[in-house]
Amino acid sequence: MTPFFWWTMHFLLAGRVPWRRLLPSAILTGVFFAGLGVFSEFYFSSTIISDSRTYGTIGAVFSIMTWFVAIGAVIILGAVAGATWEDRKAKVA
Amino acid sequence: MVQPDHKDPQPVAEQEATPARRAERKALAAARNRFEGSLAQSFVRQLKAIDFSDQVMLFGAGLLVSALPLLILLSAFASNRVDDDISLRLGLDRRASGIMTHLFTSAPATLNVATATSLVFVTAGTLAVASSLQQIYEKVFHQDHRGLRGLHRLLIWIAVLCLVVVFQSVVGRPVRNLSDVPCGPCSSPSPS
Repeated sequence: MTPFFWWTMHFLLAGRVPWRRLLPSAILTGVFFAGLGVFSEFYFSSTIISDSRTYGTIGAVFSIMTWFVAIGAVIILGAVAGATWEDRKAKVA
Repeated sequence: MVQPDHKDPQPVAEQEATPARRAERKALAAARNRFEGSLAQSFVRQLKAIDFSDQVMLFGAGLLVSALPLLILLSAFASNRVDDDISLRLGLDRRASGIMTHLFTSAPATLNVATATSLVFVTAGTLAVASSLQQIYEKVFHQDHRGLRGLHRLLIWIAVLCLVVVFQSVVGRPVRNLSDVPCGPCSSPSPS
């Protein structure tokens, strides 16, 4: 996912931020995404089963909603963490 | 006037607790000093500046109301099952995948006015999600918002995202099918 997010940041920012500055954010987003994948494997199966048992079919939608919110968190946390790292590096240099 | 011989018990208690409190205050001050000007403080400040919790919820809700129906419509037109892809991405086991299959059971779509209208709305919603992502990145990297000038970029990004999702599904499906193949005698139930 790292190359996709690297390109996404550069493309959506219309090339105004150099590739080099975006790299930490892309790497961290990729790492967080991988972490979300691992977390999903342990968390979502049991959650979907228990939610659908408690709430019916809409329970599975709750789980998908949680997954989408987690994707949003991963994207923002990755971008912010990388940008903060780059800013700190620029201040030190 | 004679002062009553009354002693407030609180100062005594405070005096007794002073060393513990002093240590606590010292630890707090040390933690605060360590946090001040640190990378963690910059990170938290940046998260506050972009309204992290609001953005996450809005982004998640946007994905739910736009990207998910888009995927379902695309899968209906492509005669391809979306539940397999979602199960693959969520890393679901067989029982949870069964629930997903039940959730996304749909007939192949035909192009009529209602479908076309919903497709337009779904595309607009997906554009909103892409725009929200663009604005998040602009805030994070301190860039001005380009407004409608960046519209073509959003459209291209959505097209590329669809291609990436389709590619991952095509690549991921054989792997998943392989993992689902029973391994002969080891998967069969014992006769007893």
